[in-house]
Amino acid sequence: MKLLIIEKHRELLKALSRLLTHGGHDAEAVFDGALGLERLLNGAFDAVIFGEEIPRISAEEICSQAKEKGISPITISLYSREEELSSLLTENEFFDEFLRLPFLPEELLSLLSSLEEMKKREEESAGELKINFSDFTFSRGEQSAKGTKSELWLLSALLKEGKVEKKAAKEILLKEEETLSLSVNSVNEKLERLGVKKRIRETSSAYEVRDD
Amino acid sequence: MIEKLRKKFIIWTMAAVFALLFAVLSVINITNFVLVASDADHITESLVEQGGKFDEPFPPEGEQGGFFPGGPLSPETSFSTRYFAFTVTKDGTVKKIAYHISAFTEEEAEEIARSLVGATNKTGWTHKTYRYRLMEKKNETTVVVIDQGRELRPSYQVLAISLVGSIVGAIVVLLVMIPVSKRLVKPLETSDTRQKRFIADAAREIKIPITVLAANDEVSELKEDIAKSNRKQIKKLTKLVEDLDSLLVFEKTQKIEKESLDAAEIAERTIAPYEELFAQRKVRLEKKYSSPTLFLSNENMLKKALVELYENGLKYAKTFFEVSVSLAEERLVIETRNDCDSLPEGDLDRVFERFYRLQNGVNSATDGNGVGLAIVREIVSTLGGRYRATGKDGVFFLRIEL
Repeated sequence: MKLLIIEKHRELLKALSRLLTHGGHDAEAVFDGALGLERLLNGAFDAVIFGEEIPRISAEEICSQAKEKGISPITISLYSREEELSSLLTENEFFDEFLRLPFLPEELLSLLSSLEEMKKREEESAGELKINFSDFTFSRGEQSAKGTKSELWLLSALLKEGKVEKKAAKEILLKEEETLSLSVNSVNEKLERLGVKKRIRETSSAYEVRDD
Repeated sequence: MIEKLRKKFIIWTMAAVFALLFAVLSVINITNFVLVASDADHITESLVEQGGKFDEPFPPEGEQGGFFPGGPLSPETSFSTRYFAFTVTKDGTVKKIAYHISAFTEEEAEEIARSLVGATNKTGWTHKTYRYRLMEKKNETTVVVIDQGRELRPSYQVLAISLVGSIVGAIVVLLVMIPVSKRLVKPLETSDTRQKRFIADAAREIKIPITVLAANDEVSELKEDIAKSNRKQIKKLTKLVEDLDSLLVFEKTQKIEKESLDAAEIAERTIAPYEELFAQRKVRLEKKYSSPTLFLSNENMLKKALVELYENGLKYAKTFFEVSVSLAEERLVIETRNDCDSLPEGDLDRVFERFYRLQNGVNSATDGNGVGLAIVREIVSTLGGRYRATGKDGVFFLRIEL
C-alpha cells in the first residue's frame, strides 16, 4: 500500500516509516499538517496515518479538504488518552479506525491489511439501513453516519447473524471488551441519529441486535 | 474520591454534632425530670409522715429555699401543693384524709387511690403528671397523690425548645459544613488533580517512546536474546501504561451502571485464559464457587478486578493459588490465597497503594508494576466495597467485599 504518515513526533514518525516500509508498504512521512495535506492531494495514497495534535492543519481539516477533492484514502487516527475514545467515536466524521498508543507493530500492520480488505467489500443492506464499506459509512435514506472498521464489522455481522459472541469479536477485531463496548454505544447513538429502530445490546457473553 | 471524602467529612461532622447534642440534651432533660420527681417525692414523703395532710408548716423553717428543683422547697409548698390522700383498708374501705385538687372529683380520686393499692412501686407516676406514694400499715394503706403538672410543664417546654433548637442548630451546622468542607478538601482536590494529571501526562509521554521502541525492534536485526529481552521490556511498559490508563478511568468513574450478574459464572469465564498459564508455571489452581452468586454490580469493573487478582496470583504464587466467590450478608466476597516467598506477617493493606512494594515481598518481583492491586482498590471503592490483604505463614490472603 502507498501510505502517508503525518505525525509531529519525529522519532515516532521515523519509526513508523521504517516499520511500514519493513512491512512491505511504500511509506512517506511528514511532520506537519500543511505538508501532509499538500502530499495527500498530490500523492494518490491508499492510506493515511494521523498522529495526535498535528501542527498547522488538523487531521480533520486535512480529511475534509481531501474529501472535497474526491480523495478518500483509508484513514487511521492515533490517540493516547483512553478516556477520550468515547467522544472520538461518537463525534467521528473522518477516520476509518482509531489506534491507541502504544501498539505493537503487528497491530498496525494487521489493521492496515484488514482495512484494505474491508474497503473492497460490497455494500450491504438490511431494510432501510445500508452499510457502505467504500467510505466506511452507514446510511438510511439521505442521512449517513461515519463508522469505524470495528463499528461496521459489528453492525454487518449482527445484521446478518443477529448475535455475535464477544470472544469472537475480540479475536477478530483485536480489541478489548471495554473498547468494543464504546463502539457499541457509538453505533447505537448513530443509529438513533439516523432514526433506525435497531440497537445493539450487550449480554454477558455476546452482542445482539434487537428492535428498539 | 475527593467528593466521597467530602461527603464522609460532612457525615462524620454531623454525627459528632448529633452525638454532642444528644448527650447535652439528655443530661439537661433527664436531670430536669429527675429533680422534679425528687421534689415530688420529698413532698409526698412529708405528707405520708404527717398522716396524709399538711398539719404542720412544710417545709419546716430552716429547710426553706425554693427556686432550683432538687434544692430546698418553697415555704409556699404546703399551700400550693394540689393533692389528695386516702386510706384504703384491706377490706376495701376507703377513707378520705385530704382532698385539695380540682382535676378529679372526690369519687374519681377515691377510685385512683383504690387502684394504686398493691402497686409494685411504692412511689411513681400515675395519670401522666401525678406523683403517688403508698404507705402501708397493719391493715391499711395510705395513698398520697400530688399533682406535678405545673412543675413538669417547664420541663416539657425545655425539652421541646431544646429539640427544636437542636434541629435548627444541626441544620445550621450542615449549611456551614457544606461550603467549609469544600474549602477544607480544596488543597487535597488540587493535589489529587495534579497527581492524576501528572500520571496521565507521564503515561502519555511514555506511550510514544514505547511505540517507537516496539516499531524499531520489529525492523532491527538484533541478537535473538537481546531482541527477546527488548520485547519483554516493551510489553511490560505497555502493560504499565494500560494499567495507569485503567486506574485513571476507574478513578474518574462517577456513574456506575449496575446489573444482575452471576459472579461465579463471570469468575469462571474470566479465569479460563489463566488456567493454562497457571499450569505452565506448575501452580495448582483451586476454584471454589458457592451457589447462588447472583449479585447487582458492574460487569466490566467486576471482571477487571478479577483479572487483576488472577494476574497477581499468576505472578507471585509459588505452588498454589486459590480463588473463592461467595455471597455473605448480601455482599459478594472474593477471596484469593497463594503461597509466596519472603512474605511479611499481618496486615498488608498497603499492597493496594499505587506502586507500593513490600520489601522482598509479594509485589516486589520484577514482573509486577505495582498498579494491579491499586486498580482493584479503585474498583472496590467505586462500588462501595471493602478490601483487605494479610500475610500468615507464607500465605498471602486477599479478600474483597462488594
